[in-house]
Amino acid sequence: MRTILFFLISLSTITCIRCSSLTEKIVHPADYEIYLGRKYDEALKECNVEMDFWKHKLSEVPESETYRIKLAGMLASRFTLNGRIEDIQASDSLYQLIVSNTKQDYASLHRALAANCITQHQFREARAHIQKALEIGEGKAASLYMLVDVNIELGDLAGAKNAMKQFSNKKFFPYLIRKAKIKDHEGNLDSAIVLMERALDQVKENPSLFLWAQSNLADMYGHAGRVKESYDSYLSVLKQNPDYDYALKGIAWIAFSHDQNFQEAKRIAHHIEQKRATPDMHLFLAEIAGAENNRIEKLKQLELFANVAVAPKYGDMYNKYLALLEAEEFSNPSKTIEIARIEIRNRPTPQSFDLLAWGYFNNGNMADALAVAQKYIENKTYEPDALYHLGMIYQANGMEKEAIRYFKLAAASSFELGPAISKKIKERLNS
Amino acid sequence: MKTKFASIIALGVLLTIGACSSKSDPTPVVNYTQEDQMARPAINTVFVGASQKDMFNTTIPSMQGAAFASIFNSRLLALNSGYTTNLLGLSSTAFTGVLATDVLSVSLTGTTTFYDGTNVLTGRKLDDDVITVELILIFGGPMGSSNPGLTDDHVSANDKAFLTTFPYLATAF
Repeated sequence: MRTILFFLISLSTITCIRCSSLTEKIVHPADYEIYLGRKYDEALKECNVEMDFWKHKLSEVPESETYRIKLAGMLASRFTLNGRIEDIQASDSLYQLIVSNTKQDYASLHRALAANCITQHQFREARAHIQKALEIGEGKAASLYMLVDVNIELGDLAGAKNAMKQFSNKKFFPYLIRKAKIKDHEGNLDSAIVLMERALDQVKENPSLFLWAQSNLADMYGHAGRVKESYDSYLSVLKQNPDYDYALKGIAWIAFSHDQNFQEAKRIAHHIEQKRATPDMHLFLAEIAGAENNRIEKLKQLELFANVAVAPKYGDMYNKYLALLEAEEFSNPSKTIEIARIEIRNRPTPQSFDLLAWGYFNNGNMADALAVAQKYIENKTYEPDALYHLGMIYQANGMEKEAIRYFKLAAASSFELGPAISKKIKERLNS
Repeated sequence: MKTKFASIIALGVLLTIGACSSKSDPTPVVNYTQEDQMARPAINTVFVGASQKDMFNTTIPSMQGAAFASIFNSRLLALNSGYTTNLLGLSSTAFTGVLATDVLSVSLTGTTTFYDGTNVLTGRKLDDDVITVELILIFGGPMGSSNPGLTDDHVSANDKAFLTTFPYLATAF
């Protein structure tokens, strides 16, 4: 009897594994159809009204730094809604003007400038502003939290952890989310998720922090293969704020990478692309076209992306994607190497070195690629695309065992990598 | 090529009051920490330098006098090197001793006013000209008439009438 029972249980378990491996569709358009009908972001409308108010106040009292500070802050937050980089630049100019107008140096102004620098991927400048804010002293905790952020971006995890040591309250939301981020960078995704869940629990009363934390948690669930939980979290975000398109992007990715429902992924991407001004959606649409083997559409979308992303106003913001495009799509790996060197100078992270190694690889410099990989990438990052590149580089250098090891590690993150690369990895593992 | 959505970075996420609740308790325990404080208008702003601001804001009022009186005194003498006494007859150490405990005092029996010509710091009404009073006490000398260029902010009333019923404050702008 016990044996039979055991057999039945194992059979049902196997059946379950089988049906889930046949990838039951997760994305159901009826769940979010209402959000796709929204042409404008309500928050953006409100932001514009508020901005007009402060503009008017400033026109009445042009010497008021208070109104100028308000306006600079509004511009920076409007960027998060409309994606127009011009807003960040206008915000920057106002803050610079305020700094030169005010006799006293304020830490909060340097933090605001640092935040704008981070948005524009000017990480070294950001760190200089944060150091200045720390010297001034006021709001030390806020400055230290930003130091953690910028150190992570610069690949200085030791510096980030060092700054974290200075906080006594280790249960506080801003502490927990950064701890989660560091864990994630160290490849410990499970701990990162637990920390982010704890952080989320703390900000139930604060809508914007709650949505931020919940959508980040949704990303993490996806990376951990908990795709249904990821989908449900994105839906929950949208229920609270129907204009939170970051969550729609997440759903589009699930439609694309998990369900392989390319039509639906495209439909969502087109919706977002028409609502926001960022070039990112073209990159995503290109990737979908690639998975559909539609070479013409892919090139069209890549060109749309590249034409916008190379504009001087974006500075180094899209360097990573431009570098990858040069090697993988435009057969110009020497350009990849050139951009990678700029990235390494800006932020010497394992990801920046990955671009360099990948440039060498695509250029046929296999020995150089391997040297960079072993010195700066291996055991230093657990990002799936870097793991895939490591596999390719090892294989090209005839080190089959290592190559297989990295292909297997990358294959575990096939959801994050998307269908096209996952297919390539599978082919390598089966050959 | 992989499109990965860059995670949003929380920048300078600041919560003025830190609340930590424990999950398992039926009634959540909430611990608050003091992160900012202000009582008399502009005193914290003027007398506390940026490098001590965090410390001042997190010091409870009963500990402020001991920790900040001498800092306030040097600041007062830096602002007005000719300080002798003020309208209250307070020496610089006595005056800054009062200021460093940054609370709003109120007389439960007398007139409620920041300063009305007779009563001083016995409370604060919305239409009290608080900054001018503070300037007089800092720069005005024993008679309140020294440094006439520095003892009036020239803003003698709110730009909008206060309400006669709760919440009494006028709407912003």
